[in-house]
Amino acid sequence: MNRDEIEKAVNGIDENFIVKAAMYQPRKQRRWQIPTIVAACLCLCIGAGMGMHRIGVPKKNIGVVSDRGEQKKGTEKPTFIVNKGDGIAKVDMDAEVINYIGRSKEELARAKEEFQTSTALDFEQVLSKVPMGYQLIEFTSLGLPNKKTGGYTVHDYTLSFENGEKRIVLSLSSQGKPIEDVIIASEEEQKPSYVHGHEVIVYAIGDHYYGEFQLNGVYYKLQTEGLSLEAFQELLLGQIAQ
Amino acid sequence: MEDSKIIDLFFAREERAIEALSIKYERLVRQIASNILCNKQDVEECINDTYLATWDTIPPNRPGQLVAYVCRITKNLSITRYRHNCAKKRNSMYDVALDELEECLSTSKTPEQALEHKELTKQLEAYLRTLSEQDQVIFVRRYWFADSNGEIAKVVGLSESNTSVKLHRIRKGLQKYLKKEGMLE
Repeated sequence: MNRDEIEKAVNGIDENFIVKAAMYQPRKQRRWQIPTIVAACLCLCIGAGMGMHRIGVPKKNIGVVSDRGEQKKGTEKPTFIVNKGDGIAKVDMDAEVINYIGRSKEELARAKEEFQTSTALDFEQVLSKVPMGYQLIEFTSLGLPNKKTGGYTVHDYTLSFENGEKRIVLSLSSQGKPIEDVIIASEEEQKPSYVHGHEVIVYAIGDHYYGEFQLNGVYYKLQTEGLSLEAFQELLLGQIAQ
Repeated sequence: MEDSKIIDLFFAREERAIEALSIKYERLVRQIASNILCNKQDVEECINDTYLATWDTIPPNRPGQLVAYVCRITKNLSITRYRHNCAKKRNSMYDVALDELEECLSTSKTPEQALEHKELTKQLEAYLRTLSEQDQVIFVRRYWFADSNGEIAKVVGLSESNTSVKLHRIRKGLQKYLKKEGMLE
């Protein structure tokens, strides 16, 4: 088989292969931001002992960090109980993460429409609840394998913002709690906080704060890095503001 | 801008069509031309020729997939220019990629028995369909786009060494597939 024939053969392949190669976006595994060997090892040790691991969903806590009064469901004044986690560990999972920032305007617009259809939330309104000075650096969808289609079906959307060293990550899903490929270990039962009558699970690992809540049928997971507890609480209040 | 709208602009003979095309696909077009051609001036001329050829052929053509259409034009123009200007050097990534494939597909069959390129294209496509999407992309980026292993690694999110190993396996797999199909000895 001579070189010319090989060249012609390769050049003649179906254009769908060319399009696929030209537009390919790698599937990524979502990674958390504070992987430390010590934290991960500790987490796995505790987890192995307790047999309680569940991806992305902490089941118990190891103590109340802040003591801001008795929590009462429906009280006007928010009460914050911060559960403390010891650490997290990554787990491998099959997921398709697509980042729409940096893609064409059309693709970004389509993704925003799909976000709005999926969550019934206005994209710009969600952005407006993030404090000034933060820049949207990632807008991703996370797809889980769909056995019927053989492809991936979007489960949740994540918006990541940065302001210098500070970082805010907001994940939303109308299909259940946003998926994470992390395990968070704790020993005691989690205590909920109440913000505008909504139950929120707040917990902290180092200078990372996490808040999980449900609002109008949408599951939220708010994560911050480098923010003070007060700044995190303010952000949480803004998200749940009526 | 969506491809269909860009094509509509070409049909309306609006020069904005070329601007829209360049905004969306110049990076890809430049990459293909750079992989094949030896110097920057040739690359720039090839990019301009691509836009001109697209302008001249749409209409009457209405490509189903604009990106593939433009990439093909760029590749054909680049190969033509390459053969004219710098074929003797045979040092572009395009030649290196072809050398790899030639080595993999070398056969003791006589010229009379040799595969016609159309038949080989069919077999290549059939083989590609047996691969994962990522492996398909690695193969096409290497042997159609003539990307370096480093560039492919960035595209598919693997390390360069991992990409090289995968390419090696894909080539071996192709060889095995063609032998099984009776296309190679």
